[in-house]
Amino acid sequence: MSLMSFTFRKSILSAILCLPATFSMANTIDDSVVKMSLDENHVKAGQQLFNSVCAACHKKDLSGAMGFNLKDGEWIHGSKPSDIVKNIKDGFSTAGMPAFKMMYSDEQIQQIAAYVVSKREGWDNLTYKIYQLPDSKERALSQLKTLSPVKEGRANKNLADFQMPETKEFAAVFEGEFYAPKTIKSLLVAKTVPQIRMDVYIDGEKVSPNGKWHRNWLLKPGKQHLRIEMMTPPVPFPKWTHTNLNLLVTNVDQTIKLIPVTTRAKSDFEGINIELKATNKALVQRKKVVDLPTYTVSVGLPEKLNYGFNTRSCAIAGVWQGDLLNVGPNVKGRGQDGSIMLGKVAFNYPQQINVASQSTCEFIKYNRQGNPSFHYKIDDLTLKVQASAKDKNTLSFNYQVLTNPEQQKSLMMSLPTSDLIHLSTEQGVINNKQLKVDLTNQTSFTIDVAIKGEK
Amino acid sequence: MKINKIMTSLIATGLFACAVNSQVWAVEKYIPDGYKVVTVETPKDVRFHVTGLDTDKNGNVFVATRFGEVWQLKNNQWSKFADGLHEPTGLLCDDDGTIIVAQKPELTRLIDVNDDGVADDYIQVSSGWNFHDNYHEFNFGPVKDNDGNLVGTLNLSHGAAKAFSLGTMGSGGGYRGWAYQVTPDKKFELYAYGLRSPAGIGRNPEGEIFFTDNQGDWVETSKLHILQKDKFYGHPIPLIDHPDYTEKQIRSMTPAQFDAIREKPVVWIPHIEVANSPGNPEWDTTKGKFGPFAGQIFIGDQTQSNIFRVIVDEVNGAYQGAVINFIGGMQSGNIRADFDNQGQLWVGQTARGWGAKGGKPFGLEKIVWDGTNPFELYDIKLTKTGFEINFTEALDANSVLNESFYIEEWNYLYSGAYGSAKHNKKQLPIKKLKLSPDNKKLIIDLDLSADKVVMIDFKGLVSHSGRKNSVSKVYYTLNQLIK
Repeated sequence: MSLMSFTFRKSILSAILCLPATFSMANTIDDSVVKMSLDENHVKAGQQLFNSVCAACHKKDLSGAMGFNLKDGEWIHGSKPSDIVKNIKDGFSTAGMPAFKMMYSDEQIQQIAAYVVSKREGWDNLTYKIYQLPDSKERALSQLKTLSPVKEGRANKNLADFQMPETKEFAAVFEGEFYAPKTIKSLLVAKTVPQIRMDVYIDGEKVSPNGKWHRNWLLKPGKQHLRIEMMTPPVPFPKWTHTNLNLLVTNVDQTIKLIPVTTRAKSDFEGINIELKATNKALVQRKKVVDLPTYTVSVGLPEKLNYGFNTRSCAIAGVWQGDLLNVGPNVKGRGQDGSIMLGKVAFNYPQQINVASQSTCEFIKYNRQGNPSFHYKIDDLTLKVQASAKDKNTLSFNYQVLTNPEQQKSLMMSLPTSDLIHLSTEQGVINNKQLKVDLTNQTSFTIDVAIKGEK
Repeated sequence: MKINKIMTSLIATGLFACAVNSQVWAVEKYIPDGYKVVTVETPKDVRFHVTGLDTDKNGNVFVATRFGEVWQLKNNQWSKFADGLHEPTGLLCDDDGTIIVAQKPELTRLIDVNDDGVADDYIQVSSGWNFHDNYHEFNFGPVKDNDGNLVGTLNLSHGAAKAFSLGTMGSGGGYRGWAYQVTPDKKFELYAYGLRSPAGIGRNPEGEIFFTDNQGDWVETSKLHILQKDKFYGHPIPLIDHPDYTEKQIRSMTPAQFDAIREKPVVWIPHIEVANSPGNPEWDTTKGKFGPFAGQIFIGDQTQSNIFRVIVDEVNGAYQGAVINFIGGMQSGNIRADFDNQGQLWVGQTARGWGAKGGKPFGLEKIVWDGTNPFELYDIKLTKTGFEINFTEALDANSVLNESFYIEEWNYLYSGAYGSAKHNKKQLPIKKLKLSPDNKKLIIDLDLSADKVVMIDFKGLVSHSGRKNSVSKVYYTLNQLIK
């Protein structure tokens, strides 16, 4: 017996001997991390650690960059909480991920894992069943009860793959745990012809769809058991029938794609993450943006304060704190989807800063020397507005009257309402969300928008 | 005999082994003798989907990208001139050295105030139409006419909520599907209507404006029109903004009624055979620097990744003419074309959202001519008895036989369906075939009728030096016979 084979056998033997202990330890860790993931304090602590240590490679939103995506259903090194804890502890030196066990306590590492678990999205433990359909042209999902699957198993990468069936006509059932967004309402959306039969069960209850061509089902927030039954129509298929289904989760307005549910949808999510961040100078972007009006020009300052100027109304149509925009959805494919404001939205249209009861607004230009400035006319008055960061939470809008040929004596500004901001000015009194500016002895005024910190 | 199809040379050089393994290479390649496609290196890691392209009088190249940037190529160096624009699909180097871009919501003048090579002022030239954040609401142009007006075209929407639609393209109002002009004092004026997806606009040296429209609903096959004030170009949806029409009226009208009031194109551009989604018409004003086709129109096609020529004929005081492929098998979707002062044809490319036969997602190429006289069809003119066709080199008289030709005619069915098949297709027998004394002109007598596309395939012709044409099919749009 060679030394090598002896060592090999020994290691196997010790592994076998250790198995029950390892299993029980993993179970304990799994339980502990899951419990922590439901505890706000642990999750917050984990988030802070994640942002300072892990976000550089895995991104702050866990969507992955140098490191893997940590919120989707694909887990190369195991998806159990104990796997995550182990991977953080030991790292992957060949892949450039350090071992963190010497740097952080067991509790801290479990807090990071708890945060990762709390951010989970999409399928887990997804299984599939594929059915061959009878020769008759009759189609109803109730037929599944009488049929046996021709193929079944665990789905690859936790995504429903409707290309698996080898026949043109088929039925398929995908079932597993599904993590929907926790903080916003979301929909499961099927972009398919109505002749494709689909039933959706959430936690065992059949849910009725809305819509016909783009059917959608309201999901529960967070974790739920999801079962999707699908059956093709008989051939010849009606026009526009694609059996490789594009199923995804969106916000309730269906303006933001959130989670891919199928392999077909996954391809739609690639290349939709193009984040624009103002680093050393202001950025200006004119794009379609979800939750900002058409004609809005978005401006991002390096101080991570952003706003939108609407060239049709000459209003400040939104303020947000963080990075400027993810323009990916707007430059993917044909660009049907809107860009997304990154960070915290302090206010947005219909809340806005605008001249009250204006009759006409004529946008003239913007200038990008220094902080961008917008020039426009309200009736005969020519104005310029330029925003700068007063401090890290305060965006200061400085208005200058460039021409006032009619010697207009005052200007009434209407201001936004939002619990997230505090408005102030040194040139007048804000009353009932309006600011009256005296133009007889001044040609400029400033409105400060302070974004309140987290309580 | 020299056969100048690139496919043939690929076989000879052994590259064909790659060609047969890749679907991308299934594109037919053709190029006339003396011409070469040069791929221009674009800035590294930049989404360089070129949808606006112009050169200034010094030969500097300006490009607008779909991502929203403007780049300039000066002394072989790229530098970014502007950014953050809303999917511009047109760019004009104005006479005063400023740049005008056609953003979706606005026509914008970019001015480098402090002369540091970067635009500072983004001035609104016009925003007289309505944009509703729909992806298909492109703003194409502008071109400048002889009076200094800027002329542009506005795409209809697709799949937009609350838009008026008869099934496919739609309008949320605000002059979608119209052409407009902006006067030198910035006044927005309506110009014409009935446009669908008018992705290319250009002017001839005389200052007349032309535009292309893409095949689809109410556009039987892609086409090139002369743009004339207050004319209707066939798509009913833009009538929703016309004071003489109501939605109810538009819905009640028949294709025959719309047909009676619409303009005929200068040329129909046969679908797939020549183009699916043509870009801007660009006139060869190089006075021979680009070869023998001076004065003719060159247009790129996004889907086919080719360039084709348009030969304009004037019949009874109206334009009609022919299209013929020029160069096929380019790297991406050709959407913009522009001649620089050296006589090079720059071609801007994108394939995002709408695929292109050339496999690359975006790029910039230029076509250059080395002085070699190609053997190609030079032009074609309608006569009282048929056609006169001129070639760039004398023909071998022995090849001028009836068997060297295949000629057929067809027309299209105008309707709200997405494009039209060929209708009334019929082979036309040659009545008489004659060669001019210098062997360069063919005179073909045929029984012709109006409102047809006549395709002449002269595949059997050979030049006196033994060359074959790189393409052998010319498509003549016969709106009317000579009176």
